[in-house]
Amino acid sequence: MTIDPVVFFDFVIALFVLSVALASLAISYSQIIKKFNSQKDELESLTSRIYEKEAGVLKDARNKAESIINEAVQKAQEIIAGSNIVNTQSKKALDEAFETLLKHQTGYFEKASQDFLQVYKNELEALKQKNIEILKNTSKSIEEDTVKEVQDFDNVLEQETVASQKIIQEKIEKDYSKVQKEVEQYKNEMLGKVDAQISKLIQDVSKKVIGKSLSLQEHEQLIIDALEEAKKNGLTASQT
Amino acid sequence: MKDNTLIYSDIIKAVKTTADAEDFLSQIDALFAKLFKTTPGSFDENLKKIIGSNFAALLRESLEKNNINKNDQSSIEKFLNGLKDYIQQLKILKLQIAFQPSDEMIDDIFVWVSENIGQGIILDISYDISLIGGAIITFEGKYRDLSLKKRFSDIFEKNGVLLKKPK
Repeated sequence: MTIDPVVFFDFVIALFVLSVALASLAISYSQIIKKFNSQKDELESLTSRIYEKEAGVLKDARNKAESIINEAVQKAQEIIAGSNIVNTQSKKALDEAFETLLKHQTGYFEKASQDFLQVYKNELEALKQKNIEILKNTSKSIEEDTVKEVQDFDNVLEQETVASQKIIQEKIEKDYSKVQKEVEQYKNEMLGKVDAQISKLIQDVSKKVIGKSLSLQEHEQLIIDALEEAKKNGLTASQT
Repeated sequence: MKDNTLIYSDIIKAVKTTADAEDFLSQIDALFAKLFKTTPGSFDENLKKIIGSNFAALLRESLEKNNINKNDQSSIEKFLNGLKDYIQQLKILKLQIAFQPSDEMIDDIFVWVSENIGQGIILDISYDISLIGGAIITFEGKYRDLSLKKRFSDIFEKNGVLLKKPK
């Protein structure tokens, strides 16, 4: 098999071009990497600088705050110290004035309390009387209502009782009448049975007694009498 | 029937009850069976061997009265057949009574029936003590309860009100 030189040459050229492209690509890639790394380093340094600066700012701020606070505390202590002196004098005057006021107010409040108490007592008494009056009226009203209710209840109860009594009485009379009839019926039935039993007993005894007491001649006569009676009643032989 | 009554009157006098009739009929049957089959001998002697003496005497007397030759078999057979028919045609009067009657009492009742109701009637007597007395009579389809038991029942039924307490 032989390859066409043109084709081979084209192939080689293509291969060369591809190699060049790859090389340039690799070079640009490495440059990018480098640049990235350098930028990264720069970023890191920048970041660290920022951190440092920030820490410095915070530290300054903290220091300043401490100093301000210390100043304020100091000033406050001075003020307090100064005021303590004033307080003692004022306190004394205040105490005296307060005591006076207290006495005055105490007397006033005592009087006011007594007045108030009296007024309260008066009011309470008035209220009490009023309540008593109301209670009396209420009790009277309740009493009247209750009496009326009881009377109404009494009337209704009486009516119902009388009606119930009447109903019960009627029922009792009806039941009594029914029971009486049943008892009478039962009595008659029993009497009937007893009569039948007595009758049978008498019959049986009579039959036994009479049967045994008849002589043979009497028996014969009874038979003849029976035949005669039968003859009278049509007992005859038919002619053949 | 009248002729037969005269011919058999002597024998029939002894047939008063159904028991007698059955007895006579069975003896007639015995005669038919044996009388002319025995060894030769006198009629009277053979008669004694076959039937009872009472019936034998009655038969002998009746044969003589009616001039029937004792050695004439056909005449005797005719006589006996006639007697058998006559007995079988006798009317039966049924009597239920309260006791066992004696022969004499049966005779008395039979005589009364013959004289008052008619000839040619025999009695069928049965015994039922619960009747107390009297009799229940059944004759030619007619029934009459004339026992004391019935009379008592009627009396108690009629007068039962007397046993009840006054209201």
